[in-house]
Amino acid sequence: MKPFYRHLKFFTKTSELYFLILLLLALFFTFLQTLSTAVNGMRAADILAGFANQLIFYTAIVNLVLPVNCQFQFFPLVLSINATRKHTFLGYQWGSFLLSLQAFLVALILNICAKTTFSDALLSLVPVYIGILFGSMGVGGLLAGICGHFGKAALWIMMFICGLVGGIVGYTSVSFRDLSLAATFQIVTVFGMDLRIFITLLLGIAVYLIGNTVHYLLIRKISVRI
Amino acid sequence: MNEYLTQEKSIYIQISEMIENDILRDILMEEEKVPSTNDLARLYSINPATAAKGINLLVDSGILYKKRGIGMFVMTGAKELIRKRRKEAFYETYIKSLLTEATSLGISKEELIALIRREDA
Amino acid sequence: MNSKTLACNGIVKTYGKKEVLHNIDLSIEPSKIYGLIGRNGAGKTTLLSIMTAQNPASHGTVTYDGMPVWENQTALDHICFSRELNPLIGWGSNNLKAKDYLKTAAIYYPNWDQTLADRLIKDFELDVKKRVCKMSKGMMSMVTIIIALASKADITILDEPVAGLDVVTRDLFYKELLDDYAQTGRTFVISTHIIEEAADLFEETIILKDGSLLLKENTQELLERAFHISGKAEDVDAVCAGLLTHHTENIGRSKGVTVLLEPGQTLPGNADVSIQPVSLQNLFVALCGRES
Repeated sequence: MKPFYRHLKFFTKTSELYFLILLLLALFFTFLQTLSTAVNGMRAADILAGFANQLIFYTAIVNLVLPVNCQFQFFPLVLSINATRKHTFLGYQWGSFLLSLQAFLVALILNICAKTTFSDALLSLVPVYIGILFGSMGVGGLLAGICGHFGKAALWIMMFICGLVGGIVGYTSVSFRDLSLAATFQIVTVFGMDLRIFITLLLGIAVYLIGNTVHYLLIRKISVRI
Repeated sequence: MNEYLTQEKSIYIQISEMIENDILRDILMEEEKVPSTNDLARLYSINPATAAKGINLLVDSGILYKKRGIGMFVMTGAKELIRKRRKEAFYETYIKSLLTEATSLGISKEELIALIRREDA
Repeated sequence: MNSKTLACNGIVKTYGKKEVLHNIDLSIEPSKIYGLIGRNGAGKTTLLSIMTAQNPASHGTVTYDGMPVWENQTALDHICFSRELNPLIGWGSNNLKAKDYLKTAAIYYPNWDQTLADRLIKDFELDVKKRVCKMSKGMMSMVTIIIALASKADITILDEPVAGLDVVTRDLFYKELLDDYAQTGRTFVISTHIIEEAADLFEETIILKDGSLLLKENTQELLERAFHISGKAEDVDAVCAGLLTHHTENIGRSKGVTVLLEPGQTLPGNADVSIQPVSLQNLFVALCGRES
């Protein structure tokens, strides 16, 4: 475990830096949104809930892009100072997990504190949040693996996939918003959750596992190019 | 010490000759400590093993001796020993090549002696 | 003091259809300073990165103290490979500031000596706030050197450490290297193009030619069996009969060759030709240069 400590230290530091950037991003866009809807007299609670919602989706987008950046920036750096690929991969997993976890907790706490009907509805979507975060980490990992193995040529594919996934995320966020406003609408429940919510959670976790396994398999033997 | 190294001879031989020169010039006195191999290596930017080889040459020929834990010292009588050895080697080192060059230039032995005598005037 | 050897066995590296390293067997013994020389494209950096598990070999194994080096953190903890930083890669680790790069190195090298690193930064007058990709070649070399020396790794490999450094700074580096070697007895492998300056530092010289190991020998012993013979062409040929000659140069009736004597071979004493010792640089050019 001792050699792995270095990776924990390094990737935690890096993760915190990115979390800060993420918070600032979400704050900025919430601010923009608040400006545009100020005429309707939003309460502080609504803004908080809105911010929490934004945070999750921006984290998801960051989760798609960050791994590729990591692959090009941190992997070569750490590997060139004698880390093993396995440890570096695990360290990066820790860092990205930490990032999503912090974003999730902040969003959760804000929603609990806000106590609006909107935020209460959002709380029932917690499994969806989890699913989205895991899923985005999985896709991001997959993209990173492709870029790491095939090099910069894969960047173009990555940008296309990003756009595609961004579109899907946008679409589902809108449709889920409709769902949360009609919170009494239920079809089937599984473990007390709407079936569709449950499937999203499961799908997210599955994508995470598959995506990251492929990522590892693709970078298992990469050479350091700095 | 502090001469430049040349390409002409093996480095370790140059090191040993430089130390001998310093002994002859009283820069290094008998029973005095000689710079360590690491000091020599640092001074000339050479591998310590090379410096050590040069020092060992002198130990083997009785010019230096080792005091355990302290370093290398100049043997008593080293100066005389060096002078005697160089005198014996004088013929090989200087005279032989002088004669070869003189022969190739067509200078006879008498002309050679006259050239040497020129210094007396 | 360690007694562990870094050994390569049968290393082959292929990129697509092209084989760049052909069956290399090399053994780096502890507590020596090695010089690795070879022309651009001979495969020095590729070999060094394979030896330090930063590049997978196509065939063959690299072991440290008998353990395979690949993905082995225990073995890698004893090794430092300080490589030439590429100024062209703006996106990547070279986007970092030098001080962040050094801080990361401090986290990852188990024997990192921060006091030494700080002193070297001061002595080399390095501006650590600058981003690596924005640095001059000389400054990037300084970063490489500082990481290599401060890592205090048992086997420290430096790839072109003096590229871009002025002669005064190069001299400072050689002195720092010797000081560290005197104190710790670490193993150093230095690949360089500035051969003559560094030749005196190398206890052993390794020459790589076109992806194959040409020789690995004690520098002193190598130079003692190398000679440059020049004079009238017929006289030179007579002296060199039966010997392997390299790099023949002809001007008019005069001819010059470099010979490397095999054990048991001697040069006949002959006053008609000039027999001179050969510097490591000239020997290298004779062995690996373009044939005229």
